[in-house]
Amino acid sequence: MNISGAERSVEIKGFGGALGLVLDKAAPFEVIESDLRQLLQDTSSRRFFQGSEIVLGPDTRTLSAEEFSKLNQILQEGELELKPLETNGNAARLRKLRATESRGSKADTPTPKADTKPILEEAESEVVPESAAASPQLALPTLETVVPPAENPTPVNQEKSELHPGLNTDSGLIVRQTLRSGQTIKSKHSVIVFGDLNAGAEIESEGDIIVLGTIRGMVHAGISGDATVTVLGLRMQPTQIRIGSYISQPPAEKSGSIVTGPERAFVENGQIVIESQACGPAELIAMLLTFQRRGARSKVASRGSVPAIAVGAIRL
Amino acid sequence: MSQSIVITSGKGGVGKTTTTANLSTALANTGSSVVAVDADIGLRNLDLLMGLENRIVFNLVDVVKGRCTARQAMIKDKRSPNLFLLPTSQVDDKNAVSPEEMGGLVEELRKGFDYIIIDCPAGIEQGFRNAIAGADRAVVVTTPEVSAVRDADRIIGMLQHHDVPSQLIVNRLSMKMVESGEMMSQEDVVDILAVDLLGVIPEDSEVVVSGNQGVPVVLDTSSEAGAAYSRICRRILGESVPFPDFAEKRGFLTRLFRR
Repeated sequence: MNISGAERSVEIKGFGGALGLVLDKAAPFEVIESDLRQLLQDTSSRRFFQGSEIVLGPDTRTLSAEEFSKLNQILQEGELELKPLETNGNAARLRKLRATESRGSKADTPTPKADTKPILEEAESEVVPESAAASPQLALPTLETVVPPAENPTPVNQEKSELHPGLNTDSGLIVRQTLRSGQTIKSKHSVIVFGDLNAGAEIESEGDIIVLGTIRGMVHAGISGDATVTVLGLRMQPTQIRIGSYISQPPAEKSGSIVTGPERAFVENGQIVIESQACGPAELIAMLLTFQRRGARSKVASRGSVPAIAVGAIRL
Repeated sequence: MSQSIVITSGKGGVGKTTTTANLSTALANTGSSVVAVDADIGLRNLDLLMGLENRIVFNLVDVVKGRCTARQAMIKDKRSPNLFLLPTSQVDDKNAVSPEEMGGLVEELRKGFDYIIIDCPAGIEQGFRNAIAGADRAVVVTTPEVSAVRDADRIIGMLQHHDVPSQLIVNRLSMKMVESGEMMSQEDVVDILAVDLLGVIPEDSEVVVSGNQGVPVVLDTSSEAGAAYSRICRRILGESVPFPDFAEKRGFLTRLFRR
């Protein structure tokens, strides 16, 4: 889908549902800037793109943070917004996209160099869930993957939609790898990690955060201010937990000395509370289910839960 | 089938260069042809540990810039006829070479050697990107310290991003300190980093002595660290070598009374 028709250093292409910006690798940045302006001035394409979110496409030029913000400014003038973080440096996903790209149009797409690291180099968030690669929109079903088919998730979804008007609530981000130091995930959706969150790694989510492994890094659930979201980890040794506008550090004692089982953090009476979850596989599934359901919190900790430990919470 | 292996760590001073020198020597002693490449441009060390510093004429930057051939720059080891060192430049910095150029150099070296062992500089900047550019796999060296483990974690993540599989060496493990609870055990480190363990090197003062003499410790069969490097070499060659319990060496009675 070449909107411009003519040879330009900037193109906007569709990548499986998302709009991707493809920048000529050879062209100087000034040319890219002016071509992008021109592209957006074209009234027909402008109307077409208006209000859309746009990501940096695969096999594109590397941008410095400064160049990136300049492009974003131009796009914003055209009422488009460049979304860096969801594609940014996402090697696996980009490679897959690139692979499908070059397979699809071998003739006009030159084979990308093996070591091209296409996106913004400054902020490294090289983690991409494999599942995201299949559907680049990042709107992935979570419940569907963990819920037995007998369950009917419809009322749950309705409940959530009321709480988050405008947010695609029955979607989430599945990360199938351990997040290591320096790797970050930022998502508008709830995040489920199959692996550990190591110290120095960060997850920021507008929804809930579930880590099916050890949380050693920083988690921030409800980054847009929603304090009704929760954080679950099979082992909690976080450097920090943030929920909505609340922030807490784990107690000063040596980590791992008290609880080694699954724990859940949520905000209660203006404090972040961490609650132990005694659970087997069945309860774990139940817990995952209730993550979509704010009101069901008490039901989760039905059996064998220890009294909640209040952790010193500071209002930001 | 030649293999290129980068020895990296993130943090400095954990034993990358020592590991490079010892594994290169050990691999060469098994009959494989090996070249040790010092990619730490500007901070030349590998030649010292191999005792070859006074034979350097050309260096890696000269080769990359076409001022000489790789053959001319490589130095044959004093002891092993199968081992060569490609020393680095002491006057340039990391930006003198690009990852593409390093990748090309490694490709060229593949033609003449079974193993290309690349000594990576500390850090995650250009020097790191250069060093991993041509690597088939990585050996991440860490010590059982929180800072080293944290940096190793970052490095492993970056290696994954570049599709370089990594294995782990835990260096300078003191069994005595592990037993008294003052040091992370190898299990703790592997638990955090979640990668394959290639080997454990016990703390051994012989390493410093042999390094100063320019004789890799792996040649000293009586030293614990040397034996550990030999085991790692065999594992690289594909042998399955059991991990010894370093505590056993303390003797049965000592162990009994310690409990």
